[in-house]
Amino acid sequence: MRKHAWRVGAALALAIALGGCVSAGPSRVSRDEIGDPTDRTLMFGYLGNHGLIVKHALQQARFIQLDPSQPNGLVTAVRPQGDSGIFYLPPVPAGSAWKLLDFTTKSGQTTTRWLQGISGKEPYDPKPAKPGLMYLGAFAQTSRETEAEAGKSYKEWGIFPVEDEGYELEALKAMRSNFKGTAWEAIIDARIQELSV
Amino acid sequence: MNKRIRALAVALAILAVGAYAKDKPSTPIKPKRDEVVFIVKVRTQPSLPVDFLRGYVKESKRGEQPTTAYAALYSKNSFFGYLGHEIGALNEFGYFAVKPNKERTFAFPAIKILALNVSDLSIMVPLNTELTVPEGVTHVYLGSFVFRYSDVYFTPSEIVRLDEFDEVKAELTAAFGDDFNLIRAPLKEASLE
Repeated sequence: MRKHAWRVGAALALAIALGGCVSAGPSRVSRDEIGDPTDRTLMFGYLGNHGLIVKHALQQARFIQLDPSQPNGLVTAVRPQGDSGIFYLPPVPAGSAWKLLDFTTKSGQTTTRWLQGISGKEPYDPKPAKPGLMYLGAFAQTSRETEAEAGKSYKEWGIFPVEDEGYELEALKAMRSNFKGTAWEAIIDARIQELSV
Repeated sequence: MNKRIRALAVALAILAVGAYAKDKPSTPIKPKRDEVVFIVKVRTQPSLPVDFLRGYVKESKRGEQPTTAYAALYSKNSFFGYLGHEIGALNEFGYFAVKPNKERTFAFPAIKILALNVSDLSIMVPLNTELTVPEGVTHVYLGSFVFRYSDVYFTPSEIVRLDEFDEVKAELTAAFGDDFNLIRAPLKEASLE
C-alpha cells in the first residue's frame, strides 16, 4: 500500500495541474460547433486583465445571447494561446445579441469571478449584424483615471478599450488551425492577406 | 473539537430558523428599536422576457422563483456596504429594516432586479442617491421606481420615480392603525466621497 503512495500523490498533483489548465477556458472549438460562414458570424478579439506591471488574460469569459427572437445561447471564449488575451467565440447565428456575462481572473492562488449581469450594452458586447468574420477590438479589465468634476479625478476600475497592438492579425493566425479544412479557412486567410500588406 | 461542532450546529440552526421565520417582504413590518423601515416598489417597462430567460435557468428542486428585486441601501460607513435587502416581487411594495448610523444618513446607490431570482440574470437600476432620515421617523417610502429599457440588452432609457405615498399609508394603517411615522424619502444625488 505504502509503496504506491507516491503514485497516488503524483496522479493527484497531475489532476490538480490539469484542472488548473482546464479552468482557464477552452482552447479549441469542436467540429460540430464550427457552423457555416453563410449564416454564422465568427467573432474574435482581445480580452486582457492589465495590472500595473503584468498583463494577463480574462479566464472563462462567458457570453450570453439576449435577443428573445433568437435561440438561447451561452458560449465560453476560446483561448488559442492560453494567457495571451487573444480569444474567439464559437461561430454564432448572425443577428443574435451577445453580452459578456461573467469571467474569472487569477491572482496567485485566488480566483475571482466577476459577474457582469445582463443589463446595458457595453462596447465589448457584440451584436453581429451579418455573417462572416467580426473583429471585436481590444479590451482589458484595468483602472483608468477618470475626471469626475473640474479638477477632481478618481481611479475607475472596469473594462476599457486598450491600445490595439495588432491583435486582429495575431488572433487570425492563432485561430487558423482550428478552422483548417472548413469553409472558414479561406475567409480567414483572405483577411490575413489584407492585414499583412 | 466538540465545542466547534456544537457552535456550528447552533449557527446552522439559527440560519435554518431564520430562513423559516422570515416574513415575505411584501408584509408590512414595524422597526425594532434603532431601526428604520424602508418601503419601495419596482417595476420594469416593458415587462421582462421571462419565458425566454427561463432557458438559462437550471431545473431546481425548489421550483421556479419569481423575478425578485433587491435594494443596495445601507447606513453610510457601514461595514456591510453592499448587502442587498430583498424588496421581493415586482409591482408590490417591499418592506425591509436597516439600522441607522449616528447621523442617520443612508446611501441608496442602486436597485438590482434578478430575473427569476437567478443571480447571473441581474439587471442593475443605477440611482446614485443618498438620504438623511429625521429622528422619530419609523417608515420611509423610497418611491415606486419604473425601470424603462430600450433594447434586448436592457439598456436603461429612463428611470422614473412615481409617488404612491397614499397607497403605502393605507397599507400601513391597515396593519398598524396610526402607530407609525411615515415620510417620503428626501432623496438627493449622492455626493462624491
